[in-house]
Amino acid sequence: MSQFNGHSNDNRNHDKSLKQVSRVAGRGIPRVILQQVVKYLPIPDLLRLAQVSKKCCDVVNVDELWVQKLRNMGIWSDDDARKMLKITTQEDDIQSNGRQAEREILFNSNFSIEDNDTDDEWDDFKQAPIEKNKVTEIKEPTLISFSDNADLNSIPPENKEMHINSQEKKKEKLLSSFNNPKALLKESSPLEVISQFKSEYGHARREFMKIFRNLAPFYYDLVDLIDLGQALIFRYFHEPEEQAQILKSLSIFSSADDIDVNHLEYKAKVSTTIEMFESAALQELELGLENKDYMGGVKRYVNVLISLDGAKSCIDLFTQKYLLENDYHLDPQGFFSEQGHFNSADFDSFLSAFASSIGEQSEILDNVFPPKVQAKITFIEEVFNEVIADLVSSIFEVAKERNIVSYLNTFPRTYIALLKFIDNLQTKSAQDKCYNTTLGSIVDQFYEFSIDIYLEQELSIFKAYAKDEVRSFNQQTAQQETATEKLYLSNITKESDKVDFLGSFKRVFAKPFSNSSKSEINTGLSSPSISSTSTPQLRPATTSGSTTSLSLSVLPETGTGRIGTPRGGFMTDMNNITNLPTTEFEAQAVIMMKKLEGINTLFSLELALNLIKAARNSIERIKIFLRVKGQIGLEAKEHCETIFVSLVNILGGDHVKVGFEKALQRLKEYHINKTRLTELDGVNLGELNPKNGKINHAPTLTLEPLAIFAELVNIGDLIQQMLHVFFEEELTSRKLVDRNDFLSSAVNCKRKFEQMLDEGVADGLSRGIDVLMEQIDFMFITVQLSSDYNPLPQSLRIAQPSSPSLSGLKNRIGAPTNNVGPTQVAKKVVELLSVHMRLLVGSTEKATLDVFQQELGVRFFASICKHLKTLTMSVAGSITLISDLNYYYNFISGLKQKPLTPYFGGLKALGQIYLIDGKDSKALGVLLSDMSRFGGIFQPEEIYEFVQRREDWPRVRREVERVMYGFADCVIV
Amino acid sequence: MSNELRTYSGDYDYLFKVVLTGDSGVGKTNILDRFSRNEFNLDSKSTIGVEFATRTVQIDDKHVKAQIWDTAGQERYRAITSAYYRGAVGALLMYDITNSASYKSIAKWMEEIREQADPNIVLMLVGNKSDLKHLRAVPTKEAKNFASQNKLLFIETSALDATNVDLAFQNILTEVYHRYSAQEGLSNEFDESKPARGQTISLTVQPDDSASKKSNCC
Repeated sequence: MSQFNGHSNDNRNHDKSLKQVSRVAGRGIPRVILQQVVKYLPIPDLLRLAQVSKKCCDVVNVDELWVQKLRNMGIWSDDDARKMLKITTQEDDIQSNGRQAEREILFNSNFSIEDNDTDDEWDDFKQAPIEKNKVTEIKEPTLISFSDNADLNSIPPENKEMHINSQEKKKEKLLSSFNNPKALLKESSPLEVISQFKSEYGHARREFMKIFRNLAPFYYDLVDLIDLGQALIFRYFHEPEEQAQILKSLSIFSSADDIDVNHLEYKAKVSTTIEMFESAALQELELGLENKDYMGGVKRYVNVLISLDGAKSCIDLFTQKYLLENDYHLDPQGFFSEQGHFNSADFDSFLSAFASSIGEQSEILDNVFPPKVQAKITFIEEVFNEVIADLVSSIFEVAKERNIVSYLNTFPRTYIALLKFIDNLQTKSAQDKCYNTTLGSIVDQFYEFSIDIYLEQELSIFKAYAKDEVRSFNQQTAQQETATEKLYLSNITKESDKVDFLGSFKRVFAKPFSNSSKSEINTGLSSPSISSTSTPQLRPATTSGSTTSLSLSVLPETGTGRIGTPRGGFMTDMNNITNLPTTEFEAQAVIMMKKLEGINTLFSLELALNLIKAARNSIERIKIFLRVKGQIGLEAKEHCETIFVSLVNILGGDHVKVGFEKALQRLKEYHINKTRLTELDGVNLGELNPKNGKINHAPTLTLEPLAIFAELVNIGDLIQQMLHVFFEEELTSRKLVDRNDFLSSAVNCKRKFEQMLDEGVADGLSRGIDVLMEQIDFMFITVQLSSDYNPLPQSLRIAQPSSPSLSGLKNRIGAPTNNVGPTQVAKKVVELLSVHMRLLVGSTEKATLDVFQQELGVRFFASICKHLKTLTMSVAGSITLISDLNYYYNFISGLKQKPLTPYFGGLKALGQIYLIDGKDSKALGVLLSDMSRFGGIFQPEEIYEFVQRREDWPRVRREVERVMYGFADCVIV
Repeated sequence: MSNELRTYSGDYDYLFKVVLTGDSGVGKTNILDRFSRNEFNLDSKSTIGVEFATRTVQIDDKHVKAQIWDTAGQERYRAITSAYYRGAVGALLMYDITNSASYKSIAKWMEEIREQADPNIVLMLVGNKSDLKHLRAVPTKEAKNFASQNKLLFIETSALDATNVDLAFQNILTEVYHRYSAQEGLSNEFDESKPARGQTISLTVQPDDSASKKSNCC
């Protein structure tokens, strides 16, 4: 249009050009060009052109042209058209016109010139009174424009108006014929023409004409009027419903002809009319509302408005009115108690009152609005956004101002309350499914905005709390370390305690959230913390003061303590707990803390508990959002995982790892010569039963750093198990994390933590073994008497003043053999080993334990060998030696570490070489050469080394060597 | 060493060394465990070298401490076995009543002892595993006859159900006690019969009444 316009505007000689066009067109302008031209013609011009010649008429009749107009109106549907085509094709097939008919239709749909209907249509078109009127109308402007020598399209409005006014009478005449619509219109009325429209290929022009014929008079009437109240539509239609209908149709129709110069202007006019009408209708509606005439006026005007432009405006009216009538500007502070806690009961009651008020209102809406409009939803949505969203947002603000924890607690609680609120509003009937789900999504949509902030807060608060805890713990212990000494419990009864503790931990975990949700994060600290802070003063005095104080003065920096603490000390501690724990969980925690307090300088179970509890609270709070579908649920899930990850990182990296490092440091600083074990003299050594390794007596000897370390491993293991329980209960059982998903960060970080723990254990153990072996070597050197395996001969002993009671005469019959038990040193060494080997039982993996025990066993074997090579053995002492070796063997075989038994069996066999009488030196040599006796444990050189330790070696050497190496006498001489 | 001697010296009047011999697997270790600790271990392994156990029993009004040597049945080195028998005053020749081969070996063991041990040694033939009656391969009568022919004490025991275990030791220790207390007057000869260095025969006199006994001995 604009191009065409532009062209014609440039052309001054307008009538000439038009003549030319018509002449050329008549003569045979190529159809292609004509087809391009018609695209840019407004509808009236098209009609005019159609009358120029048969050819022009054909071009105008092209279906596509009209399809485009229909598309502009937004009522054409290609899908429907295709469907129609299919149906007609099938029908034609049945009528056995077959392919030809189909082809024809296809052809027609493209060109429609040879359509059979065309002539009829055309006739219709020509015969239709409107059309006649149109034709005359069209002719006149043409004449005017011709006479005015002006372009048709540049007719000034007033001019045009004048011209249209001149048509007024004709229109009146025409309108009178509307009284008999049937005569006038073949099959449709202006009201229904749009809704009756069918998309059909090949009939677009016909369909368009149907609409045009019905609506054009009203349209052109309307757009030309100044006083809209005088519009034909309002005169012709009296019922507001019909008026709304026709206005709607006109607004659709107004977009049909986008070529017309006045197109936009017309459109605006139509919409102004609609607005006017709408506001009038709204006024009526309001009036009806005020009169509470719901079923009469209100309903009627609601329908009017709905048919005009949907329900938006009248629902708005309802909402505004509702909000005006009910003032819901509440003070968010009112929902907080004096302590600053969010009072969810108040909030709930407010919401339920609100819900019932909304319920009443929506009942009215249900009655007034047709069901398909979903007025209720829109209304509730509006009201929700206006009232509750504002309120909840300001509640959050207030909570944040008061206390961030209070905000964290408030957030999910408001959500629960709102869910309840929505639940109240939902109808029970199944048919309203859509309504129910939409209602649900209202709340979710609202929370979608704030959940990010909430989750971030949750995470950062947790992190800050955890870091703070760890830091304060570290500070606290640093102070304690310098000031006090620590007690280290023996490990023997710990296993069952651990099981108990874990059991209750699990039980408490299984409890519903409601119990623990009442306690704020911080309350977790109050009761158990007593134990850690008060312990230094409460510790019972140590029993063997001299050694302890000595070692204290030597090594204050390592916090040297002594071992074998009397159990009773803890009972007194228990009495000093002033804050009684309130839950079973905490009670158990306090008991456990009492039992394990000796090591609270490194790891704190209590700290771990607090952190886990905090994490659990966080996750519990977030959990509420998990069931929400879509973004919120996913984010909540992610955050649960993130919280777990940061829990593990902080607990693992900042706490456990540091603890391990400290313990390792202590182990490294430990020197056997500086510290000593408990005084051995005063202690009644328990009889160790080598077969089952049970120590029958309570007092045990432990190496302090290793004992600490073992405790550390125990606690580490406990923490790990707690994390595991937490992981299982909170994350996997709720399907937050898939245990087998190796990409999941939670699973990975848990694994990392476990790995770190294992590495720590391994490092510590390796150092621990060194320390322990150093201790054993030290004991061998210091405790073993040289006479143990080489008792003094009878005659010498008589002369010894140290044993006056032993009369040579009394004991002359070989007294030394009377003692066949293991020596003291053997018992002590075995007990020491046994205690330490069992320290870790149950607290670390079986494989680690095996490696630890085997390594200890092998090192022990080496240590024994080294030790034996420094002693001298006599035939008489060999019995004692064999007793010791048997004792070691039994101890080792009691460990059930298969790889170790051959070593100690070899030692046993080795013991025999000292049993052989010196007179049998030849046989001794033979025996020594028989390597199979020693199970391949010893090299011949080693055996030779050992046999040199015989007390009578100088005497037997010659014979032995001769047998062993085949030396002849002369060689030695 | 002197410390220990002091602690032990008051516990007993006599110390006897008794050796357990017999084929591998006849139950030497188990009978010893039963006697010394009243334990029984079903899956015991074969003994390496030698193990010792002690238990004090009352004979007449004296405390007799038995130091029992549990030897490895498969020990073949004479040098070692002679060390086992050196100074022993009693020996339990053990066989398995369900295993006739172990019974047949008794003669061999007896010969070994006669060669290597003190001639005055008290021998006792012990048929172990008497609980396995249904598997019996050595009739009691036959063993009894063999014992009386060779002047051995005889008893059938079960380490598993503890039948006759204490009795066996009680019997042999009583016999030893009687034999050696009768010899006390001949202690000089006895002394000489001991192996060269003579420290392993274990007849110890309590320090309290040592004064009188001492003179007897020397």
